[in-house]
Amino acid sequence: MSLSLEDLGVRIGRHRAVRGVSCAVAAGECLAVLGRNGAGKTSLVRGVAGLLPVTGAIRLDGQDLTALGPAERSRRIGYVAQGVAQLSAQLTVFDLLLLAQNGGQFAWAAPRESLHRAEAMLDLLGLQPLARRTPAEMSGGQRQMVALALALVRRPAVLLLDEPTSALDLANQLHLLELVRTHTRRAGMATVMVLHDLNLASRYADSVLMLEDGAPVHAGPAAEVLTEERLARVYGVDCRILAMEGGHRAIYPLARLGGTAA
Amino acid sequence: MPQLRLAGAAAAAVMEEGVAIRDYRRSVTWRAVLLAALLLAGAAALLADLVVGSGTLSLREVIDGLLSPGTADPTVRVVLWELRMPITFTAALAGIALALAGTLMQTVLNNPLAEPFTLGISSAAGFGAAMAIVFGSSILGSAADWLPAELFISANAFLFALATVILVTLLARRTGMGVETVTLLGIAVHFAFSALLAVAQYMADVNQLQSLVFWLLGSLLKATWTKVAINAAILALVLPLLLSRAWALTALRGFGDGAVVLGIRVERLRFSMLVAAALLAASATATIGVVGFVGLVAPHMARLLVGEDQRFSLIVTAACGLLVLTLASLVSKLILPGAVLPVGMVTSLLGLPVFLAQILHGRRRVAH
Repeated sequence: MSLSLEDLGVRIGRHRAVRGVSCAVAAGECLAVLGRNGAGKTSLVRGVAGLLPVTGAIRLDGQDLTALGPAERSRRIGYVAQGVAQLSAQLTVFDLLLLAQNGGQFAWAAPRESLHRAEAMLDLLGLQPLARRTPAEMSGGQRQMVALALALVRRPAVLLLDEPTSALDLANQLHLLELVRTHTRRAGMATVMVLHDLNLASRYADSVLMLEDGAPVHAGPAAEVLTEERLARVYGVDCRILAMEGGHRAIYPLARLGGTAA
Repeated sequence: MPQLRLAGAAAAAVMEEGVAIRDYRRSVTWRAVLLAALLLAGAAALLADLVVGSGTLSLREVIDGLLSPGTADPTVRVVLWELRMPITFTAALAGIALALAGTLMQTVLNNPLAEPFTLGISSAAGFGAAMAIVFGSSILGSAADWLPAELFISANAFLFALATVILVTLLARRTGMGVETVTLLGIAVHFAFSALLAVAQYMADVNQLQSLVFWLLGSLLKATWTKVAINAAILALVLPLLLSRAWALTALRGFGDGAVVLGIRVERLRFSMLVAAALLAASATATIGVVGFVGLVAPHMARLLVGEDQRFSLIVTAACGLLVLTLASLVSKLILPGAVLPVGMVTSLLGLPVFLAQILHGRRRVAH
C-alpha cells in the first residue's frame, strides 16, 4: 500500500518538532529519513506511528490514518523504536511474537494461525535459536532483530524503523536491511526508516528525505539528494562520493567543515 | 546470528508445527499443570484451616459437616459454619484480593516493589477505621445508620481507601498518568493519612486505642458471613475484568508504554487496573485490617513459577495469595495453643522463608 504524508507536522508539548513534511512512499518501496541529530527524524516516525500528536494528513492508499482509532491504526503499522530496551520482562521471544499479533484482545488461547505465523517469522529472520530466550538474555543486536520480527509478524501495511541497525555488526546491518527491502517488495509495504549511515541509506533506500530543524530540505532518489554540496551544507562535513562496482556509491567523510579532521 | 533463510523455510513451517510451537505447547501444558497443582494445594490448605482450631474436629467431621450440614452434629455444625468457615473464607478471599491488587500495582506502576498499599491504601483505611472507632463518625454521615453494626468500621475504611486511590489516579491522569507521578502522589497521601492516624491515636482513650491497634494489626477474627459475601461479590466483579485484559496486561509487562503501538490504550488500561486494584485492596483491608507481605510476595511467587504471561500468572497469583493467607491463618492458630495471633503478624514470618528459598533456588523460567 502506498503512504503519503501531506503537510505533516508533529508536536512534542509546545515544541514543533516537525513541520511541513509532504512526501510519498509507493507500495514496495523504502524511504530513508536523514538529517543531523535533533532534525526531527524520530519525531516524524513517532508521529506517523500515532505516538505523538500530528497535524496534516497521513494517507494509506488515500485513507487518512489520523481519522482511525488507535486499534485500527496500529493494525496497519509496524513500528520498531529507537533502542530496544523497552523489551523486557520474562516473556520469551515466542511469547512476544504471539503478543504482538494479539494486540491486547481477549482470547484464552493463542489461535493456531498466530502460532504458525510466529514460527514462520522466526524462520524468516533466522531467529529459531532465540525462540525460548527472553530479551534480557540477548545481545542488543539480537534484540534489534527480534524487534523487527515483532513489527513484521503483524503484517503491517506501513513499516516504520527508527535506526534499526544501531546495535548491529557490519554483517547483520546488511542482513537486516536486505531482509527489510526484500520483505517490503514482497509484501507491498511502504517502509520508512530513519538512518544515520548515509552509505546504507544510499544502498537500500529507493528515496531519501532529508530534514533540517524539523523541516524537509531535500527529497528524492538517493543519488540525486546525496551530493557532496548538500552533505556539506546539511551536516557541515566535507565528503567525497566515490563510484563503486555494481553501481553503488560510497560516501566518505573527509573533515568537519570549520572543525578538526574527521 | 544465523543468516537469512527466506521464503522456503517460512512456507514449510506453515505446513507443519516446528520446534518453537512444540516448545510453546509444552510450556503451556507445564503452566496448566502447575496451576492445577496450586489450586489443589489451596483446597488442601482451606480444608486444613477448617480442621485446626481451639475445638477438636476430625477431617471426617469437617467433610461430613461441609457436605451434609443438616445431618451433622449440632456442635460440629456451629463450630464449622458459624466460627471457622467465615474466617477461612475470609482468609482465602482476602489473600486472593491482596495478591491480585499487588500484581496489578506492580504491573501498572512498573515497579517490582509496589504492593497493594503503595498508593496509601493502608493508611487511608487505617484512618477511616480510626474515625469510626475513636470519633464514632462515618464518611457516609447519617446514611451509616442504615449499615449493620458489624460493617460500620469496615465501610468507613473501605470508602476512605477506595476514594484515596481513585483521587490519586484521577489527579495523576490529569498530568498524563506518569507512573512516577502516581507513585509520588500515593506516597504523599500515605504520609498525610499516617499523620492523621497518629492524631486519632493520640486522642483515643485506652479502650479505643486497643481496638484501633488490634484493627491495624490485621486479624481474621473480624470475619462474618456478610463480609465474606461482600468480598466474594467484589472479586466476582473484578476477576472477569482482569482476565479479559490478560493479554493487554501482558503487553504492558512486555512492552511498557510501547504497548501503544499494538493498539492498546495504555493510559486507559492503567487507570482501570488501578481502580480494580483499589477495589480489591480496599475490600480486603476493610475486612481484615492491614495485612502486609501477601500483596508483595504472591505476585513474585507466581512470576517465578509461571512467568509474565498474565493468562496464567493472574490465576497463579490469586492461588498463591490464597495459599499464603490460608496457611498464615492455620499457623496463627498453632503458634500459641488456645490463642489466635493476628494474621498480619504471621504472614511475614511464614512467607519470608518461603520467598527467600524460592529466590535462592534460582529464577526458574516458565518455558522450561
